[in-house]
Amino acid sequence: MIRNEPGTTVILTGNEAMARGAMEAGVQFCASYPGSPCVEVADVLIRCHDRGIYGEWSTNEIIALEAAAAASFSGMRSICVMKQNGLAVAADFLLSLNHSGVRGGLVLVVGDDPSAHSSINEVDSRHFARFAEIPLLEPSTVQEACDMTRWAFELSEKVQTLVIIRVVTRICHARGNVVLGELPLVSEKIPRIEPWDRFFCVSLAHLAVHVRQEQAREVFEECAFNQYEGPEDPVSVVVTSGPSSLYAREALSLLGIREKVGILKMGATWPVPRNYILNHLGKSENIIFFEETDAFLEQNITSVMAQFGDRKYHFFGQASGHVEGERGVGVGEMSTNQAVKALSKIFNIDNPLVRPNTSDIKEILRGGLPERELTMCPGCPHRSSFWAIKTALELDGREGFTLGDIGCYTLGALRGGFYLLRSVFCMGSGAGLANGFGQLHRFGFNQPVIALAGDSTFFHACIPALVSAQYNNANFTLVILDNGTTAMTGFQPHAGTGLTGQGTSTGPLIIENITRGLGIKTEIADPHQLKKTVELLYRMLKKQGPKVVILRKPCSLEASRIKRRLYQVNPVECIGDSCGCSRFCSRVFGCPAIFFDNEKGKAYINDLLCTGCGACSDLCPREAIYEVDTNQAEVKMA
Amino acid sequence: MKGLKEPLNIILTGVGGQGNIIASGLVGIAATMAGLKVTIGETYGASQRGGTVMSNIRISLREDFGPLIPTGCGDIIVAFEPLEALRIVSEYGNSETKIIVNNEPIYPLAVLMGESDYPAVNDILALLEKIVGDVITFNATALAREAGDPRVLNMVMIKALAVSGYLPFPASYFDEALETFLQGLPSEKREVNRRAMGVKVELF
Amino acid sequence: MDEFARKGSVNLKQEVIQAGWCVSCGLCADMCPYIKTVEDRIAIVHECNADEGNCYKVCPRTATDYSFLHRQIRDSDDYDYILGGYRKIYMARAINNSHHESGQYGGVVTALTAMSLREGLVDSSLLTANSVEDSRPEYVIAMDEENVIRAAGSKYVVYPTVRGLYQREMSQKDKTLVVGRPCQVTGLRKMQHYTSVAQGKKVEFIIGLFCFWGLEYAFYNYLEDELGIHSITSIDIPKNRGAIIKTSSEVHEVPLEKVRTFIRRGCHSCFDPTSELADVSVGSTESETSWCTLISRTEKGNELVNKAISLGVIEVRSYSSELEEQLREAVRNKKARVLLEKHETVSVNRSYLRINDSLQEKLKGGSVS
Repeated sequence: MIRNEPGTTVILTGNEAMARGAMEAGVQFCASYPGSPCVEVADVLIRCHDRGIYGEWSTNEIIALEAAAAASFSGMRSICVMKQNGLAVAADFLLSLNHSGVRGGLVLVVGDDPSAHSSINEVDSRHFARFAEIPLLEPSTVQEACDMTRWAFELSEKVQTLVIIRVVTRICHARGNVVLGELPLVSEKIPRIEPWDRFFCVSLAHLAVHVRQEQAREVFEECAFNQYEGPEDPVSVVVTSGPSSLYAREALSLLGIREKVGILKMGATWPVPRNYILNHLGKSENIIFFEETDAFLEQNITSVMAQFGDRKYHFFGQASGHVEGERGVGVGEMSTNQAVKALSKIFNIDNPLVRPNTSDIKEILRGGLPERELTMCPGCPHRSSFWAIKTALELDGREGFTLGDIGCYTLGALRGGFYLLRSVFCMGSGAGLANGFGQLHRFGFNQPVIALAGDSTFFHACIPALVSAQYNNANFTLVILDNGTTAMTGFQPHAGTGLTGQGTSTGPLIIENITRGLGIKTEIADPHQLKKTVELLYRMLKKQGPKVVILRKPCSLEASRIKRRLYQVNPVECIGDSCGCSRFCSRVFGCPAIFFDNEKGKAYINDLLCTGCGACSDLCPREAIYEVDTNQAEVKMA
Repeated sequence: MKGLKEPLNIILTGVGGQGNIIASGLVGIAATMAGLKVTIGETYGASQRGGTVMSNIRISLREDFGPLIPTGCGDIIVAFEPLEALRIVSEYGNSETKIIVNNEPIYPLAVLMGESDYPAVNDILALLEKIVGDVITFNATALAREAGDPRVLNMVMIKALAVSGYLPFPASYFDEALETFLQGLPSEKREVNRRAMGVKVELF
Repeated sequence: MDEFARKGSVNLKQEVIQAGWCVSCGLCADMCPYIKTVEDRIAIVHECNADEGNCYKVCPRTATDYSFLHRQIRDSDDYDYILGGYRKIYMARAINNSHHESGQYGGVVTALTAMSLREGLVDSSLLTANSVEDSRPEYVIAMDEENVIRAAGSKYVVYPTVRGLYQREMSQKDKTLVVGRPCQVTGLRKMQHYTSVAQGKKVEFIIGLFCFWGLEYAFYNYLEDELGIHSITSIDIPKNRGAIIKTSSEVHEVPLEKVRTFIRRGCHSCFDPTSELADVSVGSTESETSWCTLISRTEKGNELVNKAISLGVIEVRSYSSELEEQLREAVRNKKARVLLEKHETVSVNRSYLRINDSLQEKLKGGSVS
């Protein structure tokens, strides 16, 4: 990744390619909050601190963007990385930063997640570029991700505003060939704010926003990332961007019409390069839009064509209902399948893609293929926390409920968490909603409310919610599931872990010091100590005002890397289906390492998956689960 | 290099945590070293936690392809788990597809909880044979355990793919690719991965 | 018993817990991973999927036939329709001062328990003690005299003590003595005779207490939150007086009418104020404060009492006929109130009782005051 061998072809992920592109542009500052699918861009840059790059995990995305902007104001090339939802968090600053413009190139990488593979929703962040009137680039291959990122810094300095690179999961996590460019020498320029520098968002600057946008449009009229391939004077053209362009191309080949239909692959997609568009589309009849997730290109370009085109065009896309994502029009990601479906409809050609005949499967496997539900990892402390919360709420008996938030524990909405969660929205929304519920007692509401937050989520978004709760005396209990890391996105450190992204030690911020500092009753328990945790939660639910309970236990994946422990079931003691157990560990507690052997009528622990947390052993009503001496166990840990 | 189907579509599939991504990375490095264009599409993240994972590997001499293989276009399927083999074949298989499948199951949550039954592995293999061209099956997990750690199952599967003759380049590229991948790993990890790649696979 | 066929946790939840008849005896609490408890509350936290369950069988508020259970524990048919089966009633008190002083009304329970441990008749005892931290009741598994003494004294707030039988600390014990309220005694006998739950076989002796009602945990919340009484060291409710609450520095009295509003609802349906199914039953005696009423019932109970007398652990006097008459009247009235379902402010459940008509008629003949 960091080899200085220009001209070598390597294979990189899209995220790595963007990090590489930034390094080739001489980026020196990176700020980010972890978010799938683009977290690795920052992961890589933050770890490259010996290349003259400062990179940090900021506590949330708006702070990250502000920090990156500061570096840019001081003359440094800087990059900010966030996922789709993070851009919404940073929006306030984005929509003001566009007024002041930037100094050193500032690139904002936004990772969208069509089909929401690792998100709660699918957001098309391209609208933000239009909203903020700033340039937008969309890579369609891993190589382009590298090249566009490198060029984006130059573009940003030319037009003097930040540039958004919008990528999707299928670029970020895809791997492809990249020809490495040259890594520049580390810059020795000292960052500075000059005495005449002023960086204001003030309404007078709104005109400047338009002016810069117009400058960007002029650059985009000649941009090499916008490419046309196909016949001259095509009757039909597919207009596309991002990996959708590859799907469209493959679809045209599969349908045998590659020679007949043009493909206009847009890489610089906002502002719309009007003249370029009219040049390529002006004389065509059929214009087909293929993109994910929203009809962004479609709406912008049809508007241009309507205003400046000179004939009636036939547009095909989401508005016409021809083009669908994997879950419907404007819903779900694109793929070659979707492109073939749409184009075969439009051009009236039989769909050549055929699924194999699976009638035999349905006959033999009457239930169909068992699905793989998502659940927490083996040993996850959240499983014990959910069990404790469920127990405490049942014992309380007032129909209390739990509000969720974003993290691994979001899986508590599913069976693995006993369907405990009643709400899931953005970061910090659990504590936020609880502020509202916590005031309804004056109308007769008496159901106890628990809001959840992970340790990383706490720092990101919950502190203001707790301030508001203490100030307004809202009745609820915030249960902080502290596993000591930002687990879901890949174990990045945060303010509470005592380590920066670069690996330096920093006095950790202690969560209970903060909550107690706000004057909020705070207690701490180990979620694997079920009895104590239940009693604590039960008592706290009865108290008035805001309360915090920290359930603290390290993530089992992290812990098992340090020391491996292992448990096994003693089949003699296991009573399986009988009254007194009824398969509690496998059927109810649901740790994926525990399997119930129907033939033998006993539970069994898969030594490959067990992380040795011991929760099942503590819960077993017959003490039938014991710790195995791993020094002698057959399975040796590499 | 043999006549290359354009593109050659290889699918690696299994359950989150089986090392799919490392495996597909190795195929990518090997193919790149052999001078081919490679695109690999994955999903990971939430998939770690017990879900199905699939790597789409597209190999071509001419052009870049998108990271998602279309329906019915799987040329080679390497399955780390039998149920996932069937799931993937149902969507991407055709009568010419070649499959290499590990026959040791991993039970989904519903089966662990006693709510669904896991189909008999022999039934799964029989169904695979009805749909595709060649089915090669073996217990790769057992071979991995012999090599010292059941988690190097992914290496055993790649070894099988490498020597299968299904690829347009020789198995020796994988040895080079492996060494690139192993750089930076602690020595016990390097050893066990090498042993797994050194496993004898005589199925073809 | 057919009545238990295909009845499990779902029925326990509907018929007893949600219906409000639970008396927090603890027979079901922690019996399996699905039934959890905290303070005096019991909840079935998750469905267990079993059609038929031990939890339903052991509950003293599901079908209970006192005459039948009586026949299982005594080899005699003589069953007194008011006091249950028994051999002898005594006035008794502990001879050892430390038992006497720490215990309430004579210290006999403490003395008998300590003796059983000392003599090796049992290797453990399951008692209820007030916790050192907050004076709330908790279960204690006592193996020595010091811990037995710690558990001495009457408790007025109900606690599911029998959950202690299911804890890990008990798994290595073979023979245990349980001191319980009548509902707990009844539940234990149901466990021994209707199930093969291993804990039932471990229970070697049962000392049953007299109990006419118990209070809910909410009483503590009332004392703390509304009366501002914290750091309670003892609660005593002497006959015909209110509750005497002591802290480290103060003494408070809460009027009896107020105390009664905290009586656990299920107690009004109790048919067994004298622990009919215990080996021995112990309770206070109206007029005397340093002597108590001791009833020996079973063969084992009789031997225990004789041993205690011969070893000089307790001393006994004969029980006067006036006292006996007073006791019988109080118990009969309680039983009649249940049968006639008469109570001023709460509803009463008699549907769990299996009692033949002639016994019912005899009981109802008494006055209901």
